[in-house]
Amino acid sequence: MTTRLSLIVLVSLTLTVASLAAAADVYDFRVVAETGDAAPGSLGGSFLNFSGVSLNASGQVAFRADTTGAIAESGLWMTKFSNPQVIQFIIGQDYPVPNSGGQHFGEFLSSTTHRISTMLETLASLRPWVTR
Amino acid sequence: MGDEVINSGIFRMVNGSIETIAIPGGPANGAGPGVTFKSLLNLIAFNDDNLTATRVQLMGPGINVSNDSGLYLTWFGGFQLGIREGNAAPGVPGTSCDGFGFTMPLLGSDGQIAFDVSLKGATDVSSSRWRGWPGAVTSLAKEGDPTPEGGVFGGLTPYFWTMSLSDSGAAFRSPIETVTGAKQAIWHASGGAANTVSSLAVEGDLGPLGFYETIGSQVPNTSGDGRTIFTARFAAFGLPDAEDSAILSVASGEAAAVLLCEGDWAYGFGAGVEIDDVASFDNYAAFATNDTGWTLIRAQVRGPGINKTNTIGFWTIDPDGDIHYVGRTGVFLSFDGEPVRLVETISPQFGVGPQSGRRSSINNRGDVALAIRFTNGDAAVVVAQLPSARPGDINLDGAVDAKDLAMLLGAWGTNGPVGTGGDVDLDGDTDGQDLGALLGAWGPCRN
Repeated sequence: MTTRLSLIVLVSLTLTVASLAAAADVYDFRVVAETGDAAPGSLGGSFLNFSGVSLNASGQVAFRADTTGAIAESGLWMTKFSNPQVIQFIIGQDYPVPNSGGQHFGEFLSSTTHRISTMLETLASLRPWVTR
Repeated sequence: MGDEVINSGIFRMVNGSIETIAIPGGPANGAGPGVTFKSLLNLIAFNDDNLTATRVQLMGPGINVSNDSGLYLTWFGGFQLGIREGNAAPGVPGTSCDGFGFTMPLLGSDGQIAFDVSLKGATDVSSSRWRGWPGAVTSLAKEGDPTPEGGVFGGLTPYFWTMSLSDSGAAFRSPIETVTGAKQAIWHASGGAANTVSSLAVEGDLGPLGFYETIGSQVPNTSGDGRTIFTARFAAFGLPDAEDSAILSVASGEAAAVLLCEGDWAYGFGAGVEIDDVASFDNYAAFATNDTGWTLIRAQVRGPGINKTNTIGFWTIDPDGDIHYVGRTGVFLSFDGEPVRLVETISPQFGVGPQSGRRSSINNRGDVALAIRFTNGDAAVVVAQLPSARPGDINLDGAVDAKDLAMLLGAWGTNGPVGTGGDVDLDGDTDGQDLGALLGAWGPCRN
């Protein structure tokens, strides 16, 4: 009986130690943005949904989001090069497309950051600009 | 799909400014006078050297159904034609490229592109697989080519991406056809001019759990540290069906090793919950590697209390083979005292290898970026980080030691991207605080 009890205690201790060791192997979450946060930049409004989340080696995050913006409702954001806690606006729906003869960005479909953090590749559908 | 007009362009941001790489109606360099882009496909490859590649449709003088698609990439400062439908197939006499089908090009960190294309002419095949620099691509495998394992390469499944690239080679999945039937296999091409192809796993051969019964349908994922990740189901006497599939890692010339096995305890879930079949196409198993020995895994679980709302889990496997719990669906989360919400979906990106030009959500530190959606409609972007990924391990070798100290001292006084140089405390510089953090973490990172 004594032997059996010891075994149970030993098993319990082993499990406890294992649990404590395992606790360090659980990822922590650092929140970058969530629904209801003010969307930085000139679209205005707040974030609704997110997609296309990517991460570079420096810990910078880029993402596409839908917003409640009064001007437009989708765009791209990324965390700052110098401060991963700060989000900066990249480009948004209805913004002019460089060197396109007056076209504007439509809905944003994806975003990505890579190791070289000063660059962001984006893809956006284009549509003719209609004056509101 | 070639006639579909997609009014989308490719852009990039450099030093804070958005640049247009190509838009429909723009000139298609190298395709002939007056030829323009009709559409640019939206699954872009984009590498660490700011280069991009995609498949395009062309229109204009001389363009017809036999030459209206091509692969373009940023090359020597412009968006240049890599290879085009109707071009001669390099090294294949009397044969031209026919069509790219569903395939989208990959773009390696070294600037090499990789793609699938059907061929017509003297060699008339529905699929062939290529890799190389523009103007110097070589065939890795063509349908009907003899394989190093006997038989010939069979037809290649038309996925968007069918390969994975690294600076040291490429990995892909392709069947061997023999007079007695077909068997699936995972292959590695060595890279370089020879592009020597060798098998990593073949159905019917012996693997770590028995004989390979089925190679999983996922595209293998290869990385800069020489590993290739794939899934398989095994057959062996006494091996239960509930434990017969696994996610595996193999380096060329070495035996495959199990990273995660069906039937393993689903770490982070309750007692009795285990990893479900990882080789089944229907079970959502996926993986992504980085270049420092980590693998991000998504798998379905089964067991007590598991239903369709809480059946997906995410883990990483570190270079020592230890498992780390990232997250799961169907669990309640609260961020810093905010309301508790139930996780509906977790969405990382998996890509096809860190050097393939297709993004994934795990970086070389083992951090993982996720989009989380809650059942109440809320959503969040989070970065998952391991507490045990000890600050101070600058060279990511699993220990904080003299090598890290030397790197920190070499970067002393510099400012740069957060987490680079000797920035141990992630404030963007390398100073006495970083030195203190490094010395405080001295020793091995994991027990």
